[in-house]
Amino acid sequence: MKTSSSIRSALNKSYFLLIAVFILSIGLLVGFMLSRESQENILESNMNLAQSVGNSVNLYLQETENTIKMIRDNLSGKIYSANYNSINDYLASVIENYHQIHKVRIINKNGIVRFVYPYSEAEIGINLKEAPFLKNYAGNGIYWSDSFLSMASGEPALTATLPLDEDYLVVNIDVSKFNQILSEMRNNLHIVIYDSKGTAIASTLQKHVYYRENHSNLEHVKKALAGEQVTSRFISSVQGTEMLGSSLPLNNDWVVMVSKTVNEAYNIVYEMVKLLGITGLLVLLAGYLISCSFSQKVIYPIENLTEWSQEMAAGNYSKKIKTDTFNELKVLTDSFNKMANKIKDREEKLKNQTEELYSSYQQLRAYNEEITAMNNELEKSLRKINILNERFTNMINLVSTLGQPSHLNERDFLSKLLKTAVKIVPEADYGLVCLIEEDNSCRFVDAVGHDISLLKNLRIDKEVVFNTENHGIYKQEGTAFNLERLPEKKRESFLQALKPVHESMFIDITMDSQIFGKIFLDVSKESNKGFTENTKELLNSFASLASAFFSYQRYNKLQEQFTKEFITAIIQILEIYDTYTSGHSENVAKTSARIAEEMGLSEDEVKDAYWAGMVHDIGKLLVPLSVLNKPGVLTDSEFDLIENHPYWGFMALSKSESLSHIARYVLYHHERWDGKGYPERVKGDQIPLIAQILSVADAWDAMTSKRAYRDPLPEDVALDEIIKNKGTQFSPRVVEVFIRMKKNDSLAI
Amino acid sequence: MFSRVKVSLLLLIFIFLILPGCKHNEDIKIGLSATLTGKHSSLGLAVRDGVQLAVEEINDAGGVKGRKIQMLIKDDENDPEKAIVNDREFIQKGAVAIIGHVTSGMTQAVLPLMNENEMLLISPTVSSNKFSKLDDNLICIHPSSRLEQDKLCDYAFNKLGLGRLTVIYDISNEAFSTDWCDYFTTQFQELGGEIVDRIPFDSSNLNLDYIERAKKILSSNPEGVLIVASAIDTAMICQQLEKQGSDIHIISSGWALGDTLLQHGGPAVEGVILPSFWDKYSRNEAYITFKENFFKRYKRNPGFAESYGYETMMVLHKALLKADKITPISIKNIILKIEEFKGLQGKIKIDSSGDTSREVYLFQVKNNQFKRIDF
Repeated sequence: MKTSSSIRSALNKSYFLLIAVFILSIGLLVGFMLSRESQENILESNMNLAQSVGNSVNLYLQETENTIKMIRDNLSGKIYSANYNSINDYLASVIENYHQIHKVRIINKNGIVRFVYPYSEAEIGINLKEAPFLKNYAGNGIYWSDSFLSMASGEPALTATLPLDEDYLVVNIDVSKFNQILSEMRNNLHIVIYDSKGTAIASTLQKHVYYRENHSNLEHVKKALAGEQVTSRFISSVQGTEMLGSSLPLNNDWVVMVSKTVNEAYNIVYEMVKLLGITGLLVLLAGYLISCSFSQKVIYPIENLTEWSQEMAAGNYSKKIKTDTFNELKVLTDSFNKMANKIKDREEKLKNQTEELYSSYQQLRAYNEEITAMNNELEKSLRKINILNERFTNMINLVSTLGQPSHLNERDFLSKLLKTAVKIVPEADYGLVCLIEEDNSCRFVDAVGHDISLLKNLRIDKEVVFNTENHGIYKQEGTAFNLERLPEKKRESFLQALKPVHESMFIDITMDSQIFGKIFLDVSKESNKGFTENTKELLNSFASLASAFFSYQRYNKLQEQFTKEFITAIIQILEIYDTYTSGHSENVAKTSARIAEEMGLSEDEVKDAYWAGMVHDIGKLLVPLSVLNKPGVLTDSEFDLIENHPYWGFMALSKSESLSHIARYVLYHHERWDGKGYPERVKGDQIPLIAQILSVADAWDAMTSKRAYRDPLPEDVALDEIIKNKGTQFSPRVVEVFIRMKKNDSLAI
Repeated sequence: MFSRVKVSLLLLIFIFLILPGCKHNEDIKIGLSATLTGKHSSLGLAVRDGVQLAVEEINDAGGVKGRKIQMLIKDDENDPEKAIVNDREFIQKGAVAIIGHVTSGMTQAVLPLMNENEMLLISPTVSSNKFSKLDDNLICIHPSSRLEQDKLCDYAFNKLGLGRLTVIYDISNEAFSTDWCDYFTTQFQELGGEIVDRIPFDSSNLNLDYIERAKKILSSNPEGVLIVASAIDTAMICQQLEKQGSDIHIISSGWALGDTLLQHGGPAVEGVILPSFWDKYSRNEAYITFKENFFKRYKRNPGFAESYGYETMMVLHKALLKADKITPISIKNIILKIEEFKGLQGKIKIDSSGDTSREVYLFQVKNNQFKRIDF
């Protein structure tokens, strides 16, 4: 339901619809009946018209026929006896009275023309037995020929044939006379007379006749030619308009057709419809006005009520309205008045209640504000806890890296330490870490905020930069460096690298009371924050961490050094024992380490490769000297002894805690890629990678080292040998890396 | 909802406004100018009936790609000036071709107008040699009469053994008849024959004395007579010769071929020999169908002019169907390009200068019928 529609318009519409439907249905009914009746009348009157025209033509034809018969009767018996002059005189008088007759011939049974009026010598004696007017003559009565064009006049003509004694009387009739009859009758009508073939012989339109048009293709002409009386519509070939035509057959098989344009024929109907339409419109208009006044009567009190209800909605309850209208509306109005009073009472009550409610609301609002404040504080504390928690986590992460000091060199560690410190100390914007070298110069390791790429290249004596007294932890306004002591050039690049600083705090990294380096934390010049005691404590713990790292690092280095020296001593024993292999172990160790490095293995693995190379032949200590240094061919059992040396090496090394992980490499260093090696005959990647490397390095050194009993092979020959055994003896991957390594070496040379 | 109704109403109104603006189904206008009234109207009326039947058939079958053919029909009254006025009117009205005229005289009169306005003139009946071998805007459906003349000449001299001939011809259609006689005379003399007399006459003269003409023919004592005249005039001349008791051979042109000759000549035209490209008794299937339809429409049998009128429209129809753009010149070019058409009685070949060739037959009147002579 549309909100915009009003009762008034709805009422208007329904009244109007009621009236309109009533009037329209009556109008349509009347119109329909009238038009049907008049249409029938129109058709009938058209046919009547055709009939009256037909009657005139029939009459005319009858008259012509009577005339011809009269001629026949007058000429009968005279043609061969009387003189032609009297006959000619007689015919002349007939033709004078009957213009349609223009030629009279008497033709004998053989078709020979015996007599012709008006006289023509040429025609007398010619044979016309094949002419249609004789050939088609049935033998009695009058035969009307089809129309033809007269040779003499060029006008349409036809002949009537009838017997005259023993001969035929043939009378030519000028059809154009029919046109005159039609023209007398014309009254906005179109009339055509057709011969029995449907050719127009007379018409109110001359063209039809003169062009000898054949209209037998028109439906109603066709039907009339077949003997029917028809009225129908057709499209005129001349005007191109729709016509209403009535056709009917005449006495002599001809057809007469009367037509008018459909517009003209149905003019009455159109006029009637027009009149009906206008009347209908006027009545509808009247109906509309009536419906308006009706609805006004009903609507007025309702509108009054509506207006009042609007005022009531606006808060005015004091108005009273009159109640002199329809009964239903009266009741409605009374109820409205009562309702208004009640609403007025209730409104006042409501007002009081609202005020009470408002004061309670204010109280509640105060409580709410308090709770919100408390909540904010709680949130703040939680945020603080979170920050602390984060710092703690960062610290733990840093400390945990101390667990694997071998994986972290000192620079990486210091970088990480600095970044963590800047992150954890909330006041710090920038940071710097440097190490003191052995020559007492200061090397910058990493920076946060300051430009480390410039600082890295600066070497400055530590005495110049730092006050020697400034040990421990210090806070200083501005930068921590004594820039005045620097030569001018260095100072400039120093200043370029450093960001302007408002406050600085720095601490030494010490080990065994010796200063290794310093950590600086800076506050940006733009910042208004400052370092606190809390910061000092934090920085102190970072310095302790760094010191711990360096101590651990040194301990590690010492241990490694010791292991290396110890193993070297054992190897030297082996070399004394096996005179042929002096320097061999170290060569293999170096080569293996290089290959491992080239293959991109980790630092630990490179170290393992080195150590495995050092000790790979250690098992030979258990092979008797007599076998090891035997100059001739070895027996099978002697071979077995030699082939066992990787195994013995493995057994010895697996007892050592720090070397047991390289024992496997030693065990497999004589295995072949194709599985034909010893002692376990494993193949391919079942052989550990470092063992594969050892195998190549071992072979290479064996071929290229000088031995007591032979000269070394040239490097290219040895390399060819390695390549030849790629994929059989040696791991293809290792050989490829080895070749690349050797190529780079030769290029370097 | 309501606005959708409004929109569709607007659309409907729009469509109704637009529709009459579309002229896709405009009729194709074709003019027909011929002598339709007066003494010489029979040929024109016959052509008109043939053309009209063809147009009715074409339009009933859906027209040319949906467009109807509209005939504009005008009477040239056998008057050259009227013929020009008619054809000019056709051109102004936007006709794409003019069928006509039916006599050589009228055709000759309008030809310059056709060439000037690039209008296609297509004549069903004109056969004068004056128009052949010319690259003009005239296409003839009737072949040049040379073939008829050669055949008749050959037959008269060699078969009938006629050595002396008198020639009588109707100068009311001079463009045709004079040429006919001249060429025949030359050919006949070349063969060794002799033309003993040439008698012109004017059939439009209402007081024409046929007896006088017949006597004149016989006065030079010929072995035969050649009559170049219409059917009715030929019949009348034959009737007079018969009356004079003459039994000389009578030969005639195709102009006289028609039922009128038989109806008005009766026994007097028995034995007359004439050439024609048209065979009344053709057994060709297309012709038989045409003859039946023609009879159904007009309640009479068609003659050559009716047939040629019908064929002319059919040739035009075929060209119209093939034309992308319907203009007189494109129609002409298409007709010349197609070259060969299926006629009612056999193939019609149209050469590049718009001349037609068909087979020619000889006919003789026997028992009041045209009988074909195989020669």
